[in-house]
Amino acid sequence: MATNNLPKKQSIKVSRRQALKSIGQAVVGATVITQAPYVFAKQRTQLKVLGTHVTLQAEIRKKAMEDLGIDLIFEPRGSAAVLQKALMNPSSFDLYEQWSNSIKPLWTSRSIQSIDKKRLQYWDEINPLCKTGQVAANASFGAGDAPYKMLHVQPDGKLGSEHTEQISFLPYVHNVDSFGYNTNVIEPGEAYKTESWGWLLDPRYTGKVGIVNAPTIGLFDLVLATQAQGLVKFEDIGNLTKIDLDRLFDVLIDFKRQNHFGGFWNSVPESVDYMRTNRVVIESMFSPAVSALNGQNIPVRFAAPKEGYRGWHGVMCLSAASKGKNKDAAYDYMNWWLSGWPGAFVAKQGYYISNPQRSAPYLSSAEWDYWYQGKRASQDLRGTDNKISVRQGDIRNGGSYIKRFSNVAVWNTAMPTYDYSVQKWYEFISS
Amino acid sequence: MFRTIKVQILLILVTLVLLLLSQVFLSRNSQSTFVDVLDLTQQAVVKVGLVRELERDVIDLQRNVLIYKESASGSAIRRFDLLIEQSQDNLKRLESLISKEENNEVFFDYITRMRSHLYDYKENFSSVVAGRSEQQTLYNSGLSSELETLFNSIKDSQYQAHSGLDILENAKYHIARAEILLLQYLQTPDQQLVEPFQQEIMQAKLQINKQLSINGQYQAVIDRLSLLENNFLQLTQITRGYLFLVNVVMAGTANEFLFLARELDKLVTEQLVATNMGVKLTLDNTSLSSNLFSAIGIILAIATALFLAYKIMLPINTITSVFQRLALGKDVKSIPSLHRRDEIGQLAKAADVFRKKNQQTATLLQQSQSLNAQQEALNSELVASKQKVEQATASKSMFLANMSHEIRTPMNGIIGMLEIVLRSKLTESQREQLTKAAHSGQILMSLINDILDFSKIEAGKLDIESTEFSVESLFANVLANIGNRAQEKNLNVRFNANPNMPAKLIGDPLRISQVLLNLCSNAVKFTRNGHISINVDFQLHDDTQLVSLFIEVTDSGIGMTQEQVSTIFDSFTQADGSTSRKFGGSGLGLSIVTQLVELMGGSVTVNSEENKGSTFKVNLLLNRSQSLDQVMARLPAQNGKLYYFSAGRKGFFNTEYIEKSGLNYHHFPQRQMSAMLKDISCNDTVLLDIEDQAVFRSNHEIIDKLFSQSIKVGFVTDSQPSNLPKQLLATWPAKCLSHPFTPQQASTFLKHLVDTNLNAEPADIISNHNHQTTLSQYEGHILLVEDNSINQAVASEMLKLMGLTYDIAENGYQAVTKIVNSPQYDLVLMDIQMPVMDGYEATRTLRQRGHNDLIICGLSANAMKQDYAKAKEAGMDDYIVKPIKQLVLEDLVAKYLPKKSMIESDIVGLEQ
Repeated sequence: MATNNLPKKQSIKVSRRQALKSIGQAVVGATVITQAPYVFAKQRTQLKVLGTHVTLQAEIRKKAMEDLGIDLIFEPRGSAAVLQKALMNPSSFDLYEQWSNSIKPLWTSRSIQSIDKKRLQYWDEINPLCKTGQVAANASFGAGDAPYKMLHVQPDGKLGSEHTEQISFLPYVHNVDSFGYNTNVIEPGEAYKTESWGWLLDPRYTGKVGIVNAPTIGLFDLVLATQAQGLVKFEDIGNLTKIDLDRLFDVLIDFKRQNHFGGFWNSVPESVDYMRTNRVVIESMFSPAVSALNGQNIPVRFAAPKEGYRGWHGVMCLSAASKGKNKDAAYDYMNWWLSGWPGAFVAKQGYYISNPQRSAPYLSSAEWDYWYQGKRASQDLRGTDNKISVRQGDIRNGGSYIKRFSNVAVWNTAMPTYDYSVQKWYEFISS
Repeated sequence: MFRTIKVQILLILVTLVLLLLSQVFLSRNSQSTFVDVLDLTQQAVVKVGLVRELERDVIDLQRNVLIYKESASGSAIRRFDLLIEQSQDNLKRLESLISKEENNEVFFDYITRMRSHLYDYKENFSSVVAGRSEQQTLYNSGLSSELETLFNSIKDSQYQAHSGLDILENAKYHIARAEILLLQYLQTPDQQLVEPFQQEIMQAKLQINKQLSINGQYQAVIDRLSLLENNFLQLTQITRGYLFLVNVVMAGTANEFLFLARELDKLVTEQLVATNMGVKLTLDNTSLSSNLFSAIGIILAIATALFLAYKIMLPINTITSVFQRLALGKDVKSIPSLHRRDEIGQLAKAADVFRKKNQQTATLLQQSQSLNAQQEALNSELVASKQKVEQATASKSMFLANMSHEIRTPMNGIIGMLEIVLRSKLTESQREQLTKAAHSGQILMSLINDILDFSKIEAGKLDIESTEFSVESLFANVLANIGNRAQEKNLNVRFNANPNMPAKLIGDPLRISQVLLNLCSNAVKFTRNGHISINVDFQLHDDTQLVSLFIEVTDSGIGMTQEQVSTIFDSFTQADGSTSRKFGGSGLGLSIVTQLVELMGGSVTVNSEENKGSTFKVNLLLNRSQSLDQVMARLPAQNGKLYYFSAGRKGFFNTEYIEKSGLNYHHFPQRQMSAMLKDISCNDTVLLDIEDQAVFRSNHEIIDKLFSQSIKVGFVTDSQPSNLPKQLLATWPAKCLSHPFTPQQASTFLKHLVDTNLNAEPADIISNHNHQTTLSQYEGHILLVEDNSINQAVASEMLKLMGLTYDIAENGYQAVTKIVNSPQYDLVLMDIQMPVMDGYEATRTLRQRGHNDLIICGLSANAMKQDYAKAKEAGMDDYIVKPIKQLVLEDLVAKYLPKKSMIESDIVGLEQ
């Protein structure tokens, strides 16, 4: 019920603001008439959002500002930089939007505060992925930091899977990632059958391989790749020991020295550039990049590796420093995100939202069928940029939402050996 | 329009110039292109340099970041800032370099991305610096010192409560363990150390809590432990943060930056290579097009040369040879290039015209040659004719000369005889008739002489002599002749000469007098009444010793028209046909004058006005004599004065004469004479013009008075009336001078007039018309050698008249015989031209025979100079010209023979 009230409240608010505006104008009079909008603008709540390009999109900001009547200050950065900034300076943001693997460091460093479940209007609609760890009965849990493992704030202050009233993040956008490859160069493979993480280390693509520059993400792409290639065997790919890391990086540095890697991208646009400029033909990818490239008529296929996906889950966290009006606005924004339109918006970019049913009305059935049901596109589908991103007859590689999330090999994870992995990562990318 | 060679050549030139211009343009263009690409290359090199510098600097940045991470060194920060700044500058420079280029989007993209990476790198480093510093601060103040304080505070409490010693020791143990873990973390940051640390702190807290129940003062320690734990957590977060930044974010950024830099490097290098290729291509293109243009230029030049050669030079050569052939007059069958419509065609046409002209010329030449032949034939005919004519003329002249000579001899006889008869007693009518006969004879003789002279002149046989002669004699001779003739027509003749004239001149007196006489007789002939005036002047040419003699003869005769004047000097010409009927004459006179004057190197002109008279002017050039005498001399100084009275200013007596004589004189008008009478003393002399009877009568009394006062009086009269002098002399014992008179006569007159001593002398009347024929008587025996009987008779009569005896020899041989046989002769008159032996031969023979003292005088009809010289050479003493004149003969006789003492003998002689 509260869900329905929100828009009404906002509309009342808006009209009240407009009234105030009029009065303000009348009071200030002609003397400062040109400054009037500025004066009122200052009174709007400024919500600082630190995050990545995945969710910090202009259309979203515009829509949110319209809907919420707040000023949104988006600070989109690369995933690593975003995390670091959040770790170091919680007061520089109100909301933090990134992947689940950043939760552990953030929580340990006390950069974020817990979110009150009661203030989340759509909590009940959120699907089981973060609640139980399985979207379906036979779905794999996935190695590493599966989001359900660290959603709830445990009584000892740590994060765990036991349900409490306090959670460390708002589950919202999520997806499974793998690698994308240019089918102009690489023969398209078969989902879950021939497509393999091992391709990333295939000597045929030497010099044309891109990896995301993030130890918590790219590391697992490479772990899956080395394992798929049979170069290294790991006990638990979600919890690598120092020895595991040493063995892994020995192999990787060897590849690196042979110039196997065309680059380590720091942001989604960069990954698009990599592929677009033919700097790489195969790379770790996020789905928006794939959509963007397809929209640019670059035939990039987002692989469905037989080893399973690297899953990621978007987390929206509340800064430890956020309070008062800003904190209220932050909750408004979180609720807005699960209110349907944003989920539909990101759906067109290939992301999933944690409460898909609320977004379904914002999607055409063709879109819903294609994006969520894994069906062949019944018509040309346009992306958020209004370009055709999916041709009629296309089918999403990897199948439906359920199918895809049943095949998560590993989640983006901040392992206990994270510090060491960072050190090794440095050695790797700088070698 | 394009047919003329001029236009064609111009076209070629224009094409060549255009080609050159385009080549110049091209080369300029390519030069500028070259400069541009050079510029580009330069820029590319600079870009490459910049990009490489960027790469190097990023690596250096990473190095400094690592240094800082380890040591927190301030110099690393400074170096980092410097490098960032440098890289930003380099990016800016690169951008400005690239902004000038085309297709720079890729570059801009790279640069933008690099810049953003650089910015991120810098930002992240600040975070690193902040984190590192914070870590340090935390460790120093929040951990290290806190731990120290903690230990101390636990120690302090040792003494207060011994019971809790173990507990405190345990707490200290855990705290020490925690410190070790802290140090371990600092050594190797590992999140896994956090939990043990927290455990130790917890253990410590537990121990302290035990003590707390005993002693409440340890609450501070517990708080301190909590702070310690918080600080450690913060330290780990900070450390983790900046390590993540350094190891992941910044490394990634740097890697990406480096990648971009390398890509850029590649691009720029490629660009450089492309630029170099472009330069090469441009150069190739330039050289290709330059070669192409050169080739076109060369082809065009060759084409031009060929064009000039085939189209102009060869045809010109051909035409030239055609012209040469034409110039040489050779025939040319056909003319090439005649069909052409350019200049060559025009030349060919000109050659054609030339050829036609040549043909015409040849025809004309033939015609003119034939004409020339005709002309030459005519010329030779003409020459022959001329020769014939000249021969005829010469024959005529010879004939005339011979005829004249032949006529002269009998004429001499007639005249001589008449002269002799007139000296005898005759009745008045007889005398008159004989006189007329004698006059006719004289006229005929003069006519013959003229003919002879003319013939001689025409035949070129008249020579002009150059001898010293007396001017006075010349004048006297002329006046004697003219006076008589004028007298016959009662004409007044006046003669005036410049008194300063030299007395002697060198020239031909005979011919000069002939000229004068001819002019004068001409004047007399054409003047019915009036007067004739003869003026003679001269001019000395000091530089050349020459004297110009000006003779002017003026008459008041019938005059001439201009037409007549123009022909008057031609031969046989008188003013008109009627003239000869009225005045007679052969018309040779003036012609002879002209020719003589020309022979003497002078000139003659005439001014004439019809019915008023004529003035003939002769200008002769003569040589001066050594003698400085003048025709008039100064008279000795006199006491008295000379009073001259004349009717007008110009009297009968030339006052120049008086002035020249040096007399003190006064010239007055005649009517003042009575008034002047009282002034005239007895020492003075009066000279008076008496014009006619009327003047004579009107002045009779006054003249009487003059004589009564015994004043010397002289009269001057005109030529007419001729009896006036006699009347005057009959009336008074005075002296009278009548015109015409010579300067010397004037001088003599004056001298006698003023000098009383000379008064007694006879010859009171000085005049030239002396008709008296009183001949002196001489003694001597003469041999007359003369083949002609008439001449014999005349000469014999003349000799008889002079009382001389004579023999006659018929020829030279006879003469020689006679003289050799009887050498009693006092004088031999020897004719030159004789049969058997001529005069020269005879003379030479005589001289050879030793008759050197015998006086031999030649007689010749030829009054030629060479005759005289020849006579001298032959040994003759003297020489006279035939016809023999009584006076001349007398002069000769007087020269060599003595006079007879008896006066009576004259009368006797005459009577005989």
